[in-house]
Amino acid sequence: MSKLPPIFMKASLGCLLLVTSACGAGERPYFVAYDQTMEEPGNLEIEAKGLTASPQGGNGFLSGVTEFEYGAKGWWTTEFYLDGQTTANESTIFTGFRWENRLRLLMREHKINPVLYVEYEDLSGANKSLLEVVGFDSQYDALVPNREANEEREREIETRLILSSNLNGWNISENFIAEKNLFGKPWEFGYAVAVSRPLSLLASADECIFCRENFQAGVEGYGGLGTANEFTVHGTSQYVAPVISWQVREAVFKISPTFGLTDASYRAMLRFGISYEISGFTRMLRKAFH
Amino acid sequence: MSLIKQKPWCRVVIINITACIAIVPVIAGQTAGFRGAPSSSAQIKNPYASDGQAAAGGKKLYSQNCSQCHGHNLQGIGPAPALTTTSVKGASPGELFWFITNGDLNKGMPSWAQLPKQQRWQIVTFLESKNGDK
Repeated sequence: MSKLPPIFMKASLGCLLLVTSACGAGERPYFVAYDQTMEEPGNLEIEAKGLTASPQGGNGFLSGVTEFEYGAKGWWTTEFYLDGQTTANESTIFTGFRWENRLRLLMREHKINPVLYVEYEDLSGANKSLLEVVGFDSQYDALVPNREANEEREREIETRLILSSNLNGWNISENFIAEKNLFGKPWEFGYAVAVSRPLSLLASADECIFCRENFQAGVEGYGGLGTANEFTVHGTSQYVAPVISWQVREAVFKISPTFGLTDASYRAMLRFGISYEISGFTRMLRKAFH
Repeated sequence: MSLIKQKPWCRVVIINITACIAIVPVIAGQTAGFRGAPSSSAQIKNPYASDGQAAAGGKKLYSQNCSQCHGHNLQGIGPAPALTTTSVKGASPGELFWFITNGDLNKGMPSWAQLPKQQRWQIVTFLESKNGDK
């Protein structure tokens, strides 16, 4: 009988450790806005997010993003994204990647907690994940066929000032977004605001799946604010989106029906996501491959 | 001495330096609580002190959020310290709550402010139940 190769055994052991060692910790149900929570140092969170929508007069699509969020330090979280989308009657394509970094600016909790966000985006024109809405982004961008839009490459730096507060169980977060195309287009601006709360502030004594404290609910609002040449909300996309999440041991599920408020906005979208946090990821890797 | 008589401003400088040196230990004493907790935190009472239900909920929260670093038996794992040490047992409930809320981001202890304060107090209640109520 032949032996399995050592690398296969180590990889299997690594996977087993991943499955048995995860835990969750008060994930916000937001899809666009960020609060001040950083990933715990040494932890890895993997998240898959989807968005489905249909532009007026165009083909419906489903976009997907896979995120790998790592707690590098208590004050520094780094995250890598892979984006793709499938459009009805067209094609399924990989649309690029992002690398995000979030930095806590103050080491203690305050009434308002600032976090600096800097992200490099290398995406094609066919990207439809709408992880942020800036400038004059609109539903009409999605009318360009994939074969044309995918030829266009957009390399951008996105910055955010995140301000977040926790008050009597409520989280209130505001994000001010400024994005710059590295090939000369003007600065584009946007925002995201969000508020949420767990359905119970006390944890029950029992292990339970449907405990109220496992659910968080809230609402997000986000949209474009024009560009450096024309700072305005006229002609921009604006959205409001109830959000809800459900934590089940190792995983967090979240969903958000989203409603457009302007002509440039998609009339409706549906966002959904699942995340899985692996505690002590760095320590486990060292043990598995030592 | 003659310099002080000749230059009166020297007297002022010396008095100020002496006052600063005297004040430093006083200020340090005011802020030198458990893991840097301000002295005011020691005055805050645990609203769930000796509440068995709260401690049970805290045990669940500890298992979900803290045990991966501090161990299921509070024994500490790797760089994360044990929570049965003299310093932890000697900390007031308010100081423990402050430290759970703020963490020590430079040393790898995250802030748990995203948990409602009621849940943070439940964790404190659980720790107190393991270490003996104060």
